[in-house]
Amino acid sequence: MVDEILEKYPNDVKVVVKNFPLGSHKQARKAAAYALAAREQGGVEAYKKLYRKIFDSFRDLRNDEDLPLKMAAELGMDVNRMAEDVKSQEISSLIDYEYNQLASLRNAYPETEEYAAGVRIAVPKFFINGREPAGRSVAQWSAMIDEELKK
Amino acid sequence: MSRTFKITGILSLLFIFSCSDLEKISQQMETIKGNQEIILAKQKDLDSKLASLQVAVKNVGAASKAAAPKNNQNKKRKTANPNVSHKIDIGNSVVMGNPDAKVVLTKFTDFQ
Repeated sequence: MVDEILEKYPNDVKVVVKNFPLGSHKQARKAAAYALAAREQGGVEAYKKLYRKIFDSFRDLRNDEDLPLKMAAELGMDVNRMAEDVKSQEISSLIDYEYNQLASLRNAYPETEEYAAGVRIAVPKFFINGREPAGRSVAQWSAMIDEELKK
Repeated sequence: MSRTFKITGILSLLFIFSCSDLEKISQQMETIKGNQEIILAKQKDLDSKLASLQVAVKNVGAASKAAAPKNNQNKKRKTANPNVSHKIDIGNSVVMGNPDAKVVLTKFTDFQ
């Protein structure tokens, strides 16, 4: 879905990925930190690769929350550096910052007859220039993107 | 002679007993009559209570019917307000695509 939008609007849309690790999965936060640690050494492409790999076998992290290190090794990344970066304060602060960005929208506005109060906190959650699209189809998103581009 | 006397005696005794029985029966009849009046009064009272209860139930039914569409509306989850634009700073988050793009698609995610 996100890839489709990026393909459709290669110049006009950028995607910002933010972590919202749910409290019920303690591995989630660490996994997010590992993906961000990949960015430290290989930029966004490395992030995407490790993120995808973690995403595909996230359940296995229940038994070994440091499994992303092995995945990173398979991807030819510097494992020693990653083991250090994953503990960095910057990454930890970034995840907190991102988490709070969504959490703070819970009561962003009051309920009206037509719309619910605030943002329902769930992931994945998407915003187009800060606006929450009504549905999750390329057509619905495109309509909102086109609207934003006309502004 | 003595036979006639015996028969008369027996008949007299029967008559005496019958009279006392009749009196008892009459008394019992009076009691039953009284009780019946009480029962009838109670039944009348129950009838009127039942009638008012039926009216109340009917009213409750009508009220819940009237409220039903509103409840259904509440059950259907309302969507987020797409007219509200939240300020979600990019900060140091991961950015994919053209960094100068005018539209920002923000994705909050978790590995699930």
